[in-house]
Amino acid sequence: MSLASEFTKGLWNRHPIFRLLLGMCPALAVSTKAVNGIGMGACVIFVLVGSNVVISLFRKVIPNQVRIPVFIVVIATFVTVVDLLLHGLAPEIHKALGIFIPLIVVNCIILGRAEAFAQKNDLLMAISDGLGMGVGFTWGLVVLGSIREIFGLGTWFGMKVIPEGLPTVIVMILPAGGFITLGFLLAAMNRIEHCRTEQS
Amino acid sequence: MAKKQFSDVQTFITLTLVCVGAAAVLALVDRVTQKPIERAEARKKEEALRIVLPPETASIETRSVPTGGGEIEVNLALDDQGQTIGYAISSSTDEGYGGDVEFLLGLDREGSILTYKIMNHKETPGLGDNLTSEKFKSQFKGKNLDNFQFKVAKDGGDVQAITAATISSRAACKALEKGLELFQEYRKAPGGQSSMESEK
Amino acid sequence: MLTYIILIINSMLVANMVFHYILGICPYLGVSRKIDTSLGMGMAVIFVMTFSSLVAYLIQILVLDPLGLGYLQTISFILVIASLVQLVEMVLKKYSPPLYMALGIYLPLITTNCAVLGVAILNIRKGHNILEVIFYSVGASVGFALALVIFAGIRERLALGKVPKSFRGFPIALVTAGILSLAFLGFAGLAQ
Repeated sequence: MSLASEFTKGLWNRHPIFRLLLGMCPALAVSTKAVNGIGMGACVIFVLVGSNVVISLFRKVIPNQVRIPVFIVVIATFVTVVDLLLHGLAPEIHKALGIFIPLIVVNCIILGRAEAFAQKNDLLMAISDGLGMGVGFTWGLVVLGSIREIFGLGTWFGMKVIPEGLPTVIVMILPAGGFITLGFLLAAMNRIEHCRTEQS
Repeated sequence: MAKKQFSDVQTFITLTLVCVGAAAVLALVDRVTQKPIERAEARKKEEALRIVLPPETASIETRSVPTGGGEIEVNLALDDQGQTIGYAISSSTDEGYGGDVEFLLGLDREGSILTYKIMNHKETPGLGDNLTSEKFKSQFKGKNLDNFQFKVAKDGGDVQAITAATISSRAACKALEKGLELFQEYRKAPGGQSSMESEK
Repeated sequence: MLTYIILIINSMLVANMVFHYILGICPYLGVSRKIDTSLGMGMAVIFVMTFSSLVAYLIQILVLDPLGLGYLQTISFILVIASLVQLVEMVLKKYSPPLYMALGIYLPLITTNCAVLGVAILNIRKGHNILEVIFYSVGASVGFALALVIFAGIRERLALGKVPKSFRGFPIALVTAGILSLAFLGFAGLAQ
């Protein structure tokens, strides 16, 4: 259990979205554009690392019976901070992410890492874990968002990549497109894992 | 790692401290971000006004007149001689596909539509959000309540709806018509400025 | 009266929490393997969502707004929800142990059901009055329960069929949810 491995596990092996199947609401809802993935990812990294740090620092003084409410209050505080900061400093992103900013508080990834890891590990480990999970979540969102944006709108990060005249599949931008894309991505990940384990 | 056993009193105190601490942190952040948030909102309105008002606008004045329900606020565009060359008025509808759509209409000296900016919407990207496209907007240039029927062609009006986004198109019609009606009310009310008077 | 019926139809079908707002996906995918657990979960959600939205609304207009404490919305709302879920847990444990056992870990998961917090916040953002809050939340939660039960019915059948190995479990469930979402698009315009 090294610092580096705690970080990298969140990038693939224990990927929050694709392996742990957590945080799917924002993943599906926000991934209509690749750039939203970066915005949401950044927020989640902030909240995840922040709450992991606080919970890890105070883990010895948080009574077990009330740990869940305490975690929730800590997480909700960080979420509100990011909400206010975004509103004042990056209003465009704030509008794009909308209701899903306060909903970060119920993103199972964050509560999950607090419960499973941060309360049992020291500060540096907790930071590493939070960063890894956060970055993993971000790249997952960007991949999902990119696929949907390219096929649905013909752009990538706002730049036109599908020549004018070629049709785009609008469904990709709708909720249905999100579900189906994620389903296929998960199947693809499963396929990769099957091939890897069969080879070993 | 065994957890210390906490007494009920210690638990209660910890919980209270956590909540108070959280509230304090948030109150502080709220304080700090209030100004940036207000500034961001003001900047957004200013930018929008610059877009919808005539390019010769040198300064902008705000007037409001009381009406039955509350008051109507209109922004006057003044050229460098102090003459009124245009107006801006807000209008909104809740009949958009995704809910509320807020418009800022730019009107010329006679009260006909110059253009508009959509301030807020939740329409479907690629479909309903074509309400923001120049193509859809341009059909309203120079139109007012007397020379134009603000209904989609399907409903017997003059508006070319967006393909596959009839609901959004209908909502736009409602909002634009309402904006023009509000402007009429403003003109008729005492304190409302007619296009013939110059700024006092 | 008609406006309230329209409100319910809107939140239940046209703007369904799962298929339109994409809320409540974690429990949606987690619980919907069998119809009877879905029904139980659905009932619990209807209760928690409606009452938490009501209490959240009261807190917003009686405490947060008058005192200018809008920034405490997220914290106070989630605490309301967490408390209500605790309450439901205790009541179920006492009066219906089999249901309590069946729902298992899914009950506390209602706390992290983004649909519950989402609807509480949506009510405020849409500027509903107290009656509208009740009708909207009932419609939204019934819509969620509906989505859950329909989905469970489909998944029970799917489990018996031949699904490609990579798709088994969640992938095919997600694709199914996508198709259901498309189907629910058919309700668009119903409330107009």
